[in-house]
Amino acid sequence: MDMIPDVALKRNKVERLACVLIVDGSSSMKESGAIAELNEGLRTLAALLKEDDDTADGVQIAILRMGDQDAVTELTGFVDAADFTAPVVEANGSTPLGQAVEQAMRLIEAQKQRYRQNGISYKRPWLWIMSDGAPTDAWQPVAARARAAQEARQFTLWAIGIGKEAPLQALKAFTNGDRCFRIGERDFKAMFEWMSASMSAGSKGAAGQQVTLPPRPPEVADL
Amino acid sequence: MTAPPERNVEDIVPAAPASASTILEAAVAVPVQLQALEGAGWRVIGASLRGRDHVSRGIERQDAFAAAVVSSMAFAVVCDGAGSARCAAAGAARFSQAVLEALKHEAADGGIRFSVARFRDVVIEAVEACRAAIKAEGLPLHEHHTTLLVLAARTDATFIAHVGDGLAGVALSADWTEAKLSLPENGEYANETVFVTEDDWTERLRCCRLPALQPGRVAVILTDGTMPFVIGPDQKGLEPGFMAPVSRHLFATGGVPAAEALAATLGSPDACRISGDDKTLVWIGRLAV
Repeated sequence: MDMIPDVALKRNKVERLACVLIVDGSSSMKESGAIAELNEGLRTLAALLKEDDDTADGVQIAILRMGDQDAVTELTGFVDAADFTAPVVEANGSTPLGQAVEQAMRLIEAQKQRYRQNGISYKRPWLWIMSDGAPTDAWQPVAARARAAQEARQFTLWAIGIGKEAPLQALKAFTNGDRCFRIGERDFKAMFEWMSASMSAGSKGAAGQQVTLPPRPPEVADL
Repeated sequence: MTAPPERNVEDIVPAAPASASTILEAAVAVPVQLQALEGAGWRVIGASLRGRDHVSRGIERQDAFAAAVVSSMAFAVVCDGAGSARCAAAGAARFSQAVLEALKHEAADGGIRFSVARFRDVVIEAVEACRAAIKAEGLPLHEHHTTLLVLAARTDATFIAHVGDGLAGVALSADWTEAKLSLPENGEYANETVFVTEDDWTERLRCCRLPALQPGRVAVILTDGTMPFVIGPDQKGLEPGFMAPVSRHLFATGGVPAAEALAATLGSPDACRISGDDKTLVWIGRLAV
C-alpha cells in the first residue's frame, strides 16, 4: 500500500542527550603513548556520531581536559554531535580530577537550565571520566557530591581507567558501584566505538524504555 | 470534499472480532493494528505500527489503540506501553480496550450529556477496574506500565484525558497552526514518563474540555513515536506539512484504504528515520454536512 501523497515528514521535536567527556591531558598520557590513541579515538567518535541522524541531531557533546598545573580547560563547549570536531588533546601536567568533575557538574546543570528555558526536552545527561593516573587535587569531597548527584538522578557517570596505573579506587569513588571499566593504553578506538554506539542508543530511548547499551567490547573490561 | 456514505463500524484488525478477549489477543500479537470507522457524521481512522527499534530487536508492538462511534459520539483511546515493562503490549491493549468499553457503555446508557467531571470519573473507574483485574489474575501491575490518552468527541465539545506522554490535538483553524493541544507530561527527563499503573496515577490524570470539532475539522491522538512529525515546529500547533495532506486524503478516501495509507505513511522510511519507536495515530474527522 502506498503512503499518503505529498506528506512532509519533518522532525519538529528533538530530545537532547547532553554528554560531557573529561579527558586526561596529564604528562603520563604522553609517556605511555596513550595521548595519540586518545586523539585518534576522539576523531573516531566524531565520525561515528554523524553516521546516524537521531544521534547527530540528539546528542550534544562537551569536552574538558585535565592537565597543566592542576588546570581544567574546556576544549569543546556543548555542540551538536552533527557539528562536533575532535579537539587535539595535549599531554602535559597533572590530573585535577576533582576540579574537572566539579566543572562538569556545573556545565551539565547550566545546559539543563538552557534546555528548560527554551522548552527543549532532554534525557538524563551522561558524564564520562577517563584517567590513567591518581588525582592530584582534593577529589574526595567532589566524588561524594558526584555520587549524591547520581542518587538524585542528575546525570549518569561512566568511569574509565586507562592502563595499569589507572586510579581504580578513585574512579570507583565517583560512581555508585557500577559503570566502572578499564582499558589498555591502545584500546581507545574500541572504547570510543562503544561510547558512540551507547550514545546512539541513549539518544533513541523512548519513554519508559530502559536504554539497552550495545555489548561491551572485550577491550573494555570491568574494574 | 465528498463524504462517502455512512456505514457501520468496521474493524480491520482484528478481523471480525468475536469478543473483547479476542481483540486483546489480536492487538498484542499483530505488528500492525488498523481501524476505520464511520457513523453519525464522524470518520475515525487509526493505525498502530511496530517501530524500527522493536523490529530489529524482535520485540512486539507496545502501542495499542481502541476506537468506536456510539450514539453520535466518537471515541478513541491510545496507550503506549513502557519498553521496560515485561507485559507492556498487554497493558496497552487492556487499558485502551477497558476505557473504550466504559465510554461506550456510558454513551449507550444515556450519558451522552456528560460533563468533564463525569468523563473523568468514567476514565478513573475503567482504569481502576482494569488495574484490579490485572492484580486479581496475580499479575504484577508494574509489568503492565502504560500511558493513556483518551478523546471523546461530541458535536458541542471535545473531552481529553491524559496520563503521561503522547499528544492530543484539536485543530481550530484550516491552516493547522491554531490548535488546542494536550502535551506530554514527563518527569524531568524526556524518556521518563508516568503511567496509569502507578499508585498516584489519578494525581497525574489531566482532563479537559476543548471546543467541538466543526464540520471539516480534525482531531488527532497519538503516541510519542509519532509526535515529532505531527506537532508543529513551535510545539503549539500541528504540523501543516503532515496534517494537511493526511486529512485531505482521509476525508476523501475513508475505510480500509485510508487506514492502510495512514499505516504506510507512519511506516515510511522517513518516518522511521525520525523515530525508531512504535507509532500510533488515530485521526478523527467531522464530516461536512
